[in-house]
Formats: sequence, C-alpha cells, structure tokens
Amino acid sequence: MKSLPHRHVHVFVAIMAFCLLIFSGAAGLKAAAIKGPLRIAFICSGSVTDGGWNQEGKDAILVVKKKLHAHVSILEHISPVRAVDVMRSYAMRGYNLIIGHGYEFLIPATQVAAMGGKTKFAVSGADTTKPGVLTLNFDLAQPSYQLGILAAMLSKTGKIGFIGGEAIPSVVACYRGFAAGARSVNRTIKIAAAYTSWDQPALSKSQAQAFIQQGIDVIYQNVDAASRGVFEAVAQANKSGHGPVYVFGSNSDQNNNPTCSRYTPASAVIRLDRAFLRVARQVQRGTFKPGVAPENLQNGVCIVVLNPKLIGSVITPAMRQALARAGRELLTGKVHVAG
Amino acid sequence: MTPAQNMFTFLSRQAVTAATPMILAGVGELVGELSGVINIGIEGTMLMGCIAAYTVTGVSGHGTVGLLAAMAAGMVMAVIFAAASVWGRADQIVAGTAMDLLGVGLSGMIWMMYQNWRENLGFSTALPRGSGFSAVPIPVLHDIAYLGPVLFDQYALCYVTIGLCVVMWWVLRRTRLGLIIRALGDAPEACHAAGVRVRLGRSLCLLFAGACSGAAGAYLSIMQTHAFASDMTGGEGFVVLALVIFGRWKLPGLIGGCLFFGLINSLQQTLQTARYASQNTALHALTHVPFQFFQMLPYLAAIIALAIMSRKAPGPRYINVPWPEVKT
Repeated sequence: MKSLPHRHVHVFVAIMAFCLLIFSGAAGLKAAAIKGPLRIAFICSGSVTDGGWNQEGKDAILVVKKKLHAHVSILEHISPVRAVDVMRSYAMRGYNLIIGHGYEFLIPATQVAAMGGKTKFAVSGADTTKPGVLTLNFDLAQPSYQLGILAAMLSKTGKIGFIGGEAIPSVVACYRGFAAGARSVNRTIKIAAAYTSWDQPALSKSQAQAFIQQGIDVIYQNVDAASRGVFEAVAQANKSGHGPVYVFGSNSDQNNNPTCSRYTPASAVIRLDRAFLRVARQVQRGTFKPGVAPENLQNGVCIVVLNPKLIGSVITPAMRQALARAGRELLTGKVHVAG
Repeated sequence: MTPAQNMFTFLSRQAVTAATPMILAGVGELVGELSGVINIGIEGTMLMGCIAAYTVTGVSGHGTVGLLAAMAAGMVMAVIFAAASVWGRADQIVAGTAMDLLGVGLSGMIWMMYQNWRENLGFSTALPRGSGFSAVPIPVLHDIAYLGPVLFDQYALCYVTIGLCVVMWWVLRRTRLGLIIRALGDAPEACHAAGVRVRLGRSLCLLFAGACSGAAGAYLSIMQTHAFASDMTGGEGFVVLALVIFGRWKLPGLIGGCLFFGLINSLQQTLQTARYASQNTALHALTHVPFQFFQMLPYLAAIIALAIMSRKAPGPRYINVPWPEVKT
C-alpha cells in the first residue's frame, strides 16, 4: 500500500486535532449546562428558625426553588467540622450546587471542591478567593453608611449607638460604614459600639437600655435573633417618655417588626434571594465561575429600605435627599466605604 | 437626682432584673442539691420553660397561662430526670447532660413547628399585643428614692421571687420540712430510718426545681423580652450551677451571687457605652480597651469569687449518690 506523503499526514493530523478540539469544546459546553431540575443543597451552621441570618438564607433558597423549580435540600446545625463529609455526600449524590451559608464553610467547601467533580460550590458571607469556590461577599457597609447619615440627622442628643452580635469582619464593616456616614453629617457626633450575642434577646435588650440611659437616641442593631430585645428596649423607652428613640433593622427588612415599627425608620437589607438566584442560574446555564462575587449597592443586593409608614413624618424630604445623594456617591465611587 | 445617682439606680435596677431568673432557677437547684441531686440540665429546662411560655401565651393570649405552661414543662423535664437519676439510679451528671441536650434540641424543634404552624394559618409568631408581662410598678413604694425604682418597678415574677426567697429561707432554716430536705442530701439513711421515703422526697424536690426553672424561662421569654430565640438562655443555667456553689449551698449566698453577677454584667454594658457617650475623660480613655475585656468581666468576677468562696464549702454529703447505695 502506498503510504501518504509526510506533508499530507501533517495536514490530516492537524485537521483531526482541530475537529477534536471543536467537538470536545462543544461537548464540554453541553455538559456544563444543566438540563432538568437543578439540585441545590443549602447548609447552615445554626437553626433555620433563628429569625435572622439562617432563616433568611432558608427563605431565599425557597424562593430559588419556586422560581427555578429546583430540587432543594436544606441541612441545618452543620458544624464546619462535619461540613466536609456533608458536602462530599451531596456532591456524590449528584447535586449541582452546594451553598454553605456563612464564612465558616469556606474551608470545607474549598477542600471538597478540590476533590473534583461537577458540583459547584458557593459560600455566602465570605470575602476570600479560594479555588473552585464562589464566595458571595455581602457588603452592608454601603447601606450602613446611608443609615449613619439618617441616624445623624434623626438624633437630637448627638449620640448614636451600634450593637453587633459578634465582632466578625462583616459586622464590624457595618459599624464602620455607620460611623462614617454619621460623621459625614456631624463630625462631633458620639458613636458607641457594643457586641452582645446573636441569640440572647435579654442581653441585647439590657445593652440597648444602657445605650438609652446614656442619652443615645438612635440605635443600629445587627444581632439577628436577639434583635427583638433591642426592639423591646426601644418600645419601652418610647412608652416611658424617654423618646423619641429610633432603631434600625439589618439583614432583613425589619421595618414592620411587631414591637416598635413606629420607631424603626429603616433597615439595611441583604436580598439573599437575588444573590442565590443569580448563582443558581449561572450553574444552570453553565456560566458559573469561582471567585469573589461582590454583592452590594451596585448590583442591588445590599440596600437601605425605608419604612414607608414613616416617610413624611419621621423621615423628612431633606433626609431622603441626603440618602439619595449618598447612594449616588456610593454608586459612582465618589464615596468609598471599606467593607 | 445627680447623674451619678441616676447611674447607680439604673445599674442596680438592671442588676435585679437580670438576677431574677437566676435566683428563681437557683432556689430550685439549691433545694434539689440539698436533697442530694445535682441537675446540670437546668439550662435545658429553662429553655423548655421559655418555649412553653412563649407558644402557649401566643396561642392563648394570656401570659399567666403561658407562665403555668412553663412551670408544667419544667416539671415534666424534672419527672424525666427524676425517673433516670433517682429511680433509675443513672449518674446524675450524665443524666443532667442528657436533659440539657434534650431541652436545647426539643425547644428548637417546637419553635420550628410552631413557626410553620402559625405561618400556615396566616398568623404572626409574635405575641399578641398585651399578652406578655410588663413591669408592674407598685404604687407609692416605687416612688421611694433609690429603692423604689430598683425593687418596686419590676416584673410581677420578680416580686414572687422575692416572696419565694423569704419563704424558702424560713422553710429551710426553721421548719421540719427544711430539715428533711437537708437530711435527704446529708444523711439519707437517717431519713430512711425515720420513715421518710428518700426517693420520693428527692423526686418532689426535683419537681419543685423544675417548676422554678420553667418559670425562670418564662421570665426570659414572656416578661423580659417578649421573644423566643434558640439557645436564648445563653448559659445562664450553668452560671446558676456555679452560683449555688458560690453561695455555699445557702440561700443568702446564692441571692448575693446572682445580684453580684447581674450587677457586674450591667456595669460592663454601661461602661462599654459610657466610654463613647460620656464627657468624662477618664471613661473616654477606656475607648482603647477591647470590648472583649468588658464582656469577660462578669465571668472573671464569678470565677474569682467562686475560687474564694467555695473554699471550705462542703456541699451535701450524698450529692450525686443514688439511693439506696450499692455497697461493693
């Protein structure tokens, strides 16, 4: 048999290699996009009935379930130590996306992602780049900055306060944003900060009472399930004639809380459902990419929600203008608040 | 009043408010320990009291019904604990740990079911307006300078606790019943010889302790805050255990310990605030102190006091010893 000339062999191999590349690329794309219902696992370290972070996460994932007709599995009370086994188990069962709800799941997710496989990993409330993991970096510092402006304009005593559940970076960022916003209005304003607990309403209530006793008349709280204690303290203070004392909500829209909605002018809100929905869609379409996803004012995930009942009475047009101006400055980068 | 007097009154009032549930649970634990049974699961019992009070008040719209439900829940927990440790002769520490875990888990589960149920019915999970307890100032008395706001502008259960302390002090010191309770823990053989049924006596003491812990939980959820959160007791049950030892198994010591703990906690919260909000330069200098230092203060004070006070403080001789003893 007459052999092909060398030149022809090279051309043939090149064409074959090109075709192989094209087909493998197409096949790859085909494999990345998901057909059929998306399978999502949601893991959190606390209780999904905590009235705060975990509960909001659960509510958000249920929105994703409804909108994408996804199959969702929720697992609560998972410690970071157990998380590796749990995540690996979900990955082996063919789940498309695993969401670890909290910074504590970053390392476990990274470890399981490194094992390979088709499952995608997202961790909410983290700000670090890790291979194979998408971290959702919620920046509440920007809406907190706006709340600081509102607080400074609302305060009659020139004293405002912040109560956090724990001094973790995301909560400290809220305080920094709040303080920066308040000082942009009143440079001499006094701003107290205290950290109590996520789940002890009695402790957060007594801390809020200590604030009020010292003359603080606007409180920004980020204490999750313990927030009811702060609301209780504010309601009592207003009832006993200390007032007006105002309180801001955080993470979810707490303006309509049953205890003191008349004294809750605004909340700094994380729209977790938006963020989760976007990530789920990326997985579904095969466009998911690991890295850090900034979730902030710019993409509408972290925003200030005003209490519509108090607009015009407590929240004056001047305050609304100041908030809108601050929002524009934050969006255009004229003002930068370190998250 | 001067600002300093104002501050002192505020701190004292906060201390009494914070100490009330600890005193209430502590009185029950003291009686239980004097009878020879240590229940380290009071944290779990308090949590069951919290959730029982909150859910029953939420459904019935009456705080008093919620309070009774909390006491009943505490007594149910006590029955389980007594069955295991008194009648089943299980190790009290192990059984108490199990009770703690049971209370934490069960209260969280009930809370989840309650939320789902209310939401499915279209009702709020918040307490109906006016159903939770508010502070009840006692006319005339609450106008007394300093003492008035501190002692006579509290929740109803605080007054009940004061009354209970007086009664229990009298019972434990002056009555035959008190003598029997102490003898159950110090000389169960003597009780047995005198015809007292030791296991029944210990079980009744535990029932009383359960009711007290349940009521303490109700204080947290339907009086002090009108809220429930998983693990909302935040370790108070364990602090109570330490304070019973701190008080050398005596009621005045226990009350003093609880008030001291409440005062230090109130002081640290005020200091955390005052360093920013006050004009006082000395206080302002404290802004450089990490907040964790202030948070540590009550526990540090408790440990130091415990180390000093618990020396030469023998507890009941037969604590954690099941009856009848098995001689080997």
